Order: sequence, then structure tokens, then C-alpha cells
Amino acid sequence: MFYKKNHFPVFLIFFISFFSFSLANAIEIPKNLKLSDSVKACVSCHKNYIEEWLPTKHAMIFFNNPRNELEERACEACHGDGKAHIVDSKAKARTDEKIDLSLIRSFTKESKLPASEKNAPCIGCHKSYVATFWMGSSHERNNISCVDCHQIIRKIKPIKKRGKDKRVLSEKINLKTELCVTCHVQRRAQMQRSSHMPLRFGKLDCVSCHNPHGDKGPAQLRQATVNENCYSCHAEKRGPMLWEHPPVRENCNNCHDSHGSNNTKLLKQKSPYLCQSCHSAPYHPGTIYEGASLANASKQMVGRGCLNCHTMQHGSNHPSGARLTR
Amino acid sequence: MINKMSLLAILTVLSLAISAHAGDLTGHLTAGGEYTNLDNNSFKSGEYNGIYSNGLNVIGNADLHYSKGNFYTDVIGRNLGIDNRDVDLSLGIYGGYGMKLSYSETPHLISNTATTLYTNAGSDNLLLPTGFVAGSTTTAMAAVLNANKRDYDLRVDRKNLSAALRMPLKVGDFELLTLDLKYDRDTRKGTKDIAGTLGVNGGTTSAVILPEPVDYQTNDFTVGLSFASECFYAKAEYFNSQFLNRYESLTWESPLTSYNTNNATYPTVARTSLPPDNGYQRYSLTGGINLPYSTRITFVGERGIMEQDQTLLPYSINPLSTITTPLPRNSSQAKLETSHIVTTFTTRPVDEFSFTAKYRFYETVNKTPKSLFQYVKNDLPTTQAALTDDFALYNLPIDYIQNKVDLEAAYSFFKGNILKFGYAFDQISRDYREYGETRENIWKAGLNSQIAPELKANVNYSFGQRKGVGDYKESNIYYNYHTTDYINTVGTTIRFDNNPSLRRFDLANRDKNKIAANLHFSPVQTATLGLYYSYDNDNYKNSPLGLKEKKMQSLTADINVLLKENLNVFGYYTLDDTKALQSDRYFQGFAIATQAFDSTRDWSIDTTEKVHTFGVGVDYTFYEDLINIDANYSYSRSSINYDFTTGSSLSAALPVPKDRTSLHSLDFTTRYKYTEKFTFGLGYAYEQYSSYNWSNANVNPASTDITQVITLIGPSRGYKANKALFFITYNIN
Repeated sequence: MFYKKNHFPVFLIFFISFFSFSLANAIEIPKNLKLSDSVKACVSCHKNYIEEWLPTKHAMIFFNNPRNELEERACEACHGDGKAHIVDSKAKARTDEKIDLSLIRSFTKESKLPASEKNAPCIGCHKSYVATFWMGSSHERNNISCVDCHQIIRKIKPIKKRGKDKRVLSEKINLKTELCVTCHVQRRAQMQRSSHMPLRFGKLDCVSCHNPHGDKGPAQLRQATVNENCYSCHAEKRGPMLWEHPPVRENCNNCHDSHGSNNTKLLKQKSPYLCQSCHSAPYHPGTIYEGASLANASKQMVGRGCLNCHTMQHGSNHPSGARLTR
Repeated sequence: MINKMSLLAILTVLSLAISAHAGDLTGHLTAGGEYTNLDNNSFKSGEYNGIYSNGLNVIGNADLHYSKGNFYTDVIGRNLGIDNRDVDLSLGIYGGYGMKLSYSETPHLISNTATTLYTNAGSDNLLLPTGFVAGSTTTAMAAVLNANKRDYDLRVDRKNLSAALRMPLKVGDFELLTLDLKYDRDTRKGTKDIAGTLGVNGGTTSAVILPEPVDYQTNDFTVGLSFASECFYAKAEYFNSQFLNRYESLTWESPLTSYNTNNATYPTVARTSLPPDNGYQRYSLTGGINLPYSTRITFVGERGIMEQDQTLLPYSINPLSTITTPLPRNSSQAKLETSHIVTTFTTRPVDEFSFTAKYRFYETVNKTPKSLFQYVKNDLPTTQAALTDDFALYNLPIDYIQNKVDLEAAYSFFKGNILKFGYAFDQISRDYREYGETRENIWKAGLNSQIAPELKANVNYSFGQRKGVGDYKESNIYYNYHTTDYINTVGTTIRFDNNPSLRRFDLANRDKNKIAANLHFSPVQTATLGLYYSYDNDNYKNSPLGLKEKKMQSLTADINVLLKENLNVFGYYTLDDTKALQSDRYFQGFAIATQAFDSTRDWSIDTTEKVHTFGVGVDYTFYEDLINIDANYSYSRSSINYDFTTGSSLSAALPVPKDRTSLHSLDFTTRYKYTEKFTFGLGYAYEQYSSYNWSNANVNPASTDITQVITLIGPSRGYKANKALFFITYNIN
């Protein structure tokens, strides 16, 4: 089976078609672009940066379709009034003296601005939609600045990856996920476990469930509760069911660890012990399942454990399903 | 296949269309192949990408951005040649309207070690082979099983299509309103596993694990209108989600007859319910107001209705079942209303001080009628439950209400040091649960410190104490679940289903201690060493039975060094250590009055899981930026140990083996920038996975391994995969 996919020829056509057209030159500041005097002053020293910035969404709006006076100021919209910085830079141009970064709003690592100050220009515009709940969110309260994660100056999705952006083939963990795990290191380890969501395969990412800018749910979840979040992909579990399983209805995380587990189906503990942490009834629910039961291949212990019979653990809709067997 | 072809055709047309305006096109296209060599065709190796056998797979990625003036179009394609492809097409006006079309496929390979007796697996009416002779146990029908089992792969393929539009609306000269529309269609098709249960009770019940047909479709529609001014934002939204399952139930012929002579004969044909069609609607209003002194108030108000009104299946499909009392209603009439309110007040009146107060209310009101179901156990040829039976039961419309207040103040002192204090109160009241109400007080403190310019440390601690209001009463459920006629037949001291000494951990009294600390040391600007530690202890100290303690600790060391401008290396090690202690009591029905209260019949299990995860990587660009090498290696190894302790009235427990898992992953890619336009790449990846899980290690599918269960899935196969990768990238700009 050398070529497993017989649509390869179509893909080839698609690919070749791209090769056939004329191509643009490297980005440079177009001569017909109307630059204000302040931007011209920026260009005189920061030409490379501005050339990189030009294809970004911010630059496109600021230069082509400014919606207010602030956006018309382009560089100064975020960096603030540059006059003092220009005077300082010119004065120190021929010396070894360091430029005083406090004279301009700098977002670099060297900048001593607190996170709230760095974030101020971003929040000035992005106070709605995705960033509605930024103020008071967990990241905001922990002094994370927008530029810790976002790279405004470059085209491509403005997401940083270990200090640089790159696109790789067959990315095992996509950029957003890789960014999150630089701080949430325990999650990086959890994703390696045998039962996991498809993040390692580049499907889903942390932001599929969480909004790093804060949101309406607990733990910055996009939905009101853990369950409502899970239902957004697993609508078959939503019900409501005729026979509900109470801890399931209240919180999927009572039994599952959504970030990864070495038990099957992201379970926090394997069956039968997970079930027995809540169920103690005569005979089998209270029975100890240990080495002797394993040697006898007890039906409550091996295979699917309790789920060999109680298969409707997410609730049953069968009128004879009270014990979650139907 | 039609979908894949259409997709590629659309891309081709699109590329040609865009090529007409190529002057403003940027991005890159990549095409290549990955040859995979596996030591066995393990589904686990391609769990979410579909690659589980030897062969060449075409890989294509596209990342194209076109703009002309204010207009932009982005096309992003990933893994176009394999089964987990994604394509996104975005277009719009910068600062104006925007549209996005997305298509995504995700396979989920469940098992290719499955064997089933059914001739038409994948159907909702499972048939045994003609002439199949059912038996009482797997042991008794060993030859029949061997003669009739056939391989059947379990997988579910997901396809997702979504379309979204954002459109600013002009009101006079102002664009203050924005309309958002989104449609999302998610389909899943395939088969997974489900149990078909037979018999009367835990001792005599048998089961056959069935291939469950999956044919789901979920359609979600969202419309939102938002208003944004300088200091006020509000969004009104309506969301509607409809889940449809092509199969309402699964009917199957039983390969088992009866476990023993005291047991009722099993039905020849039985029926199991499948996830019912359901709908969810939600109306919401969210927004925020900016006030002076860096103050902001945000609000969320949501009202949702989950409804499920599937026609109820009969109590039994066995014609020999005696049904004298009909179903209390013909359809589920299940309805759950949700209300959600969140208000956050946050202020930073001076740079040094901030304060956040948050209130959350979440309520579910279950309006499903509570009715008596006199059911028939597992389609047996018996009379349905009498009112005096323990299986004449009421469905309980469970619901809950949460009220939570969360306060946090932060004070900055000296330079870069922040001290935080917080308090939260979480109250949850529930219907039909052992505690009608639980209350939790949580105290929090934290310090973020810039000890030196090159050294940062953060530590956060919280202590939570949850207590139930009143006594823990199993009777809150028991007396609502059973009929009065049945309860009157039971002695007053043994009126419970669950041992009254057991405390369910989701509402048991609990002390929770959490510590999270990290240290970042950057001796030079190009190197960072991070140390992370977390501790999370849930102590259910007042629970005589049930989960008594769960303790999780995690320690990570992480280093990242930029050795020179284009040479970055990193490494990390994480140790996760989790311990859980739970206890239970073994008691028998005939001696329930004494044994249920006899602590010498207690047993406990102490589960210890240790996971070591290690990773290193290098990213090096050299030879005048023409060659790039990207290499990563990670290794994860886990072991789970189970220790048992038994009370004096029970036999000593024999040990069980440890569960083990290991995963090695090596990924090496090198790129050579041949010209500004062309980059060539070669890669090699190796992955080795192995696991031992005693639950299924010695259980073969459709075998005699479990006397009373005809299994479906065999042990998960470990694998060794070698992958060779080649590609060419065409850079536009």
C-alpha cells in the first residue's frame, strides 16, 4: 500500500496551481502608504520592525481603515507619544548610553513597566468580545501581560512559541497548546498519558475549552459549568435522562480527569474502585476485588469492571434502566 | 471520499482564484509524505489521526494570506492528506465584517483487537450466526465462541463543519452594533462498545459486550447582537443545539441462556437504550461597564432549557414478560432549566492595590415528572415489579443550586512584589442527595515576589473546609426512590440502599489544602530555570467509608537556554505523585442488619500512582540561516500500585500487579532553505508505547476468560513506530 490515498493527484493539481502564479516581492513599506510625521519618525529608526508589522491585522486597520483618532496614530496608538523618546534616542545615538525605555511604552522584556501598564493600550480597545472578562480574570490577577502570549509585531497568528513563532509540519502539539504548557507544566506531562484528548494530534487545544482572557465559567471555562463545556462536544451525554446518575449530572470531573489519565476513558480511578468510592451495598458493590478475584477473572473486576453490566453510567432513558443496565 | 475530493477541489479553485491577485499573497504551502513502519497494526498508534498501518501518507499543509486594501482572505489547511484534516477559510474587511468557514475531520480509533459473535456489527439489530447455539456460560460454550467470533474494528469518525459571520452594523454614523451568526454541524459515525446485560442480580447476571452503532448529528446555531461603546459593552445571544441519534435503541440476540437453574431464563432477544435525541436552548446577556479608577463591572445572565422527549421503549421486549401496569407516560418528558448569573466587580484605584469581588449563581431546575416505574429486569420472562418489590422505583429529578462569592485583594509593595489575600464561600443545595446543602469556606493567600532582577518566586496557598448542613442522610434518597409498599416490608434499621456509613466524596465533609509554588531563575537573559511544585490534598476525615483522602503532588524542573542567537535547547522533568485512600465494607443481604454495621468487615485500598515525564529538545538554525534542525524527545512512564487492607472478619487480600504505561517519542526534523521560495525538509520520528493494565491484560475478546461475560475488546496493543518524513515548502514572500 504505497499510496494509501487515491486523491493524491487532486492534491498535486492544487499544489502545482499555486506554483503557477506570479509572486510578490518581500514586504517593504509601500511608497503610496500615507504615513503621518510621527510614523515617519519611527520608520527612520525602526524600519525593519515596521516592515514586519505591516502585514498584521493591526497595521492593516491602522493604515487602511482607522476607526478612530487613536488608530490613526499607528505606532503611537500603543507606544504612546514618542517625542521624548526621539529626543533621548538622538541625544544618545553616538554614545554607549542606554536609551531610557521609560520615555516610551515599551513591551520588551527589558521594560520595567508593570503588567497592568503594558496591558493598558490593549485593553483600551479590546474590552469586549473575547476580552470582556479579562479584568478580574485569573491571568490578569496574576500579572500576566498580553505580550507574554501575543506577538503584535509579526504576521501569522500572533501567538508566541518559546520566544519565536514557527510553523512546523505534523505539529504534534499546536502552537496555542504549547504556549499554555510553558507555564502550566503539569498539563504538558498529563498530555503524555495513555488516555488523553486529541491535543497531541493537533486536534483541540487548551482554548477549545478555556478562554485565557477569562470567561463566564469556573477555571476560565467558556461555558457556565464543566458539564456544559463537555456537552458542547458530547451532546449525547446531555440528556436530561429519565434515570440520572447524580454526580454525572453535576460535574463530569467527579469521575474524569479531562487533562489526561493512565486509566481508560480519562477516568480518575479504575473500575471497580472508582464506583466503590460511592457505592457500598450488599454483596458485589461492597466486595473487595483483589488478587483472588483477579485470578478468578471476576466479572466485576476485569474487562470493563462494573461497566460490564452497568453500562449507562451517564444516565439511562430506558424505563427499566434504573440500575443503569439498559 | 466525496467530501475529501470536494475539499481539495475547492482549495484548488480557490488557489487559482487567488493567484489572479497574487501580488498580495503571503504564506506557504507544504507537501510531502510520511512513511510509517509499525511493528504491529495498533489502533493506539493512530488513535486520533487514523494512521495505524505501514504505508505512505500524503501530507499537505497550507497557510495562505491574501489581502488587497482592507480585504483579506486566509486559508489554513492542516494534514490535508490524512484522516484528521482541517481547513479554515476566513475572509473579510480589516476592522469590518468577517466570515469563517471551517471543516475538520477527527477519527477516533477505539480498538482493532475486537471480535464479536454478531454477523452484522454496526447495525441496531444485532444478529447471531444462523444455527448459533446459546449457552449458560462462556466456559460451557467455548467451542461455539471459537467457531463464530469474527474480527470487527471499533472506530468513530467525526466531521465538523462550521460557518461564522461577524458583521458591524451602522447606526447613524456610528458602528456600535455587531451581529454574530454561527452554524456548526458535527457528525459522528462508527461503532463503539456497550454492554448488553442479562440476568437478575449481581451474582447471576451475565453480559455480552456489544458493538454499539454510532450515527450522531449535532446542529448548533448561535445568533448574537453586541453593543460596544467607549465604556460599555453588552451582548445578547441565543444558542440552539439539537442532537439527533439515528438509532434510538440497540436490539440484540442473546448468546447466553441462563447462568444457573435458580435464575430466570435469559431472553433470546433483548434491547438496550441509546443516547436519546435532545435539544438545548440558551438565552444570554453578557457585558461589562468601565468606571473610573480602573474599575470594571462585568455581568452574565443566562437562561437555558435542556429538553429530551424521546418515546419511551417498552419495559421489556420479551413476549414472555408479564406487563400489567403500563408505563406512566409514553415519552421521557425530561426537562432541565438552567439559570446562570455571574457578576464581577474589579477595581485598581491605585497602582499598588486591586480588589476583585465575584458572585456566581447557577441553578438547575429539573422539571422531569417523577413517576413510578415498575420495571422488568433486563428483558427477563418475568412479571414486572410489584409495588412491594425493590425494583418498583421512582425516577428522581435531581437538581442543584450553587451560590458562590469570591473575594480577592492584592497589594503591591516595593518593586515587583504582590501580596494577595482572598476568601470564598461556596454553598450548594441539592434535591434527592444525602446532604440537602453543603457549605464551603475557602481562605487564600499568595505572594508574587521579584526577589532579585533575575529571580522570581510565586507561592499560593488555599485552605477550604466543606461541611454538610445537618446530618448525612441516605434516607433522603431511599424514601423518594422506593415505594411505601416496599419500604414497609423492610425492617426499620435496614432501610437503605447504600451503607449509611459511606460518605459520597462529591458532597462529604472535606478539608482541602492547596499549595502552588514556582521559582524562575534567569542568571542571564538567555537562560531560564523554572521549578514548579503543587500540592493538593482532599481530606475526607469524617468519612467512615468511601474516599478518605486524595493527595496529589507534582514537581517540575524546566530549563530553557538560548545558547546562541539561533540555538535554543530546553529540557524538563515532571514527577506526578497521586495517592488515594478509600474504604468500603463487605456485607451480605441475609445478614445486613449486623454486617452492615460491623467495622471488622471493612477493607481499604490505597492507590499510589507515580508518573515520570522527561523531555529535551533543540532548535538550531545555522549555515547562514539556511538549515534548521528541530529535535524533541519525551518519555513518560507511569506505575499504579494497589495496596489492600482487610478487617479481622475478612480474609487477607491477595495483591494485584501494578498497572504500567510507557511512551517514548522522538521527533527530528531538518529543513534546508534552498532558495527564498523553496525549503526542503526531512524528518524522522520514533514512538514506542507499551502498557499493562490488569483489567484487560489477560482478557481475550469473545473468549472463556470471564465466565459470565462475552467480551468484545482485547488488550490494547503496544507498538513501535518508525516514521520517515519528507516535504517541500513553497514560501510566498
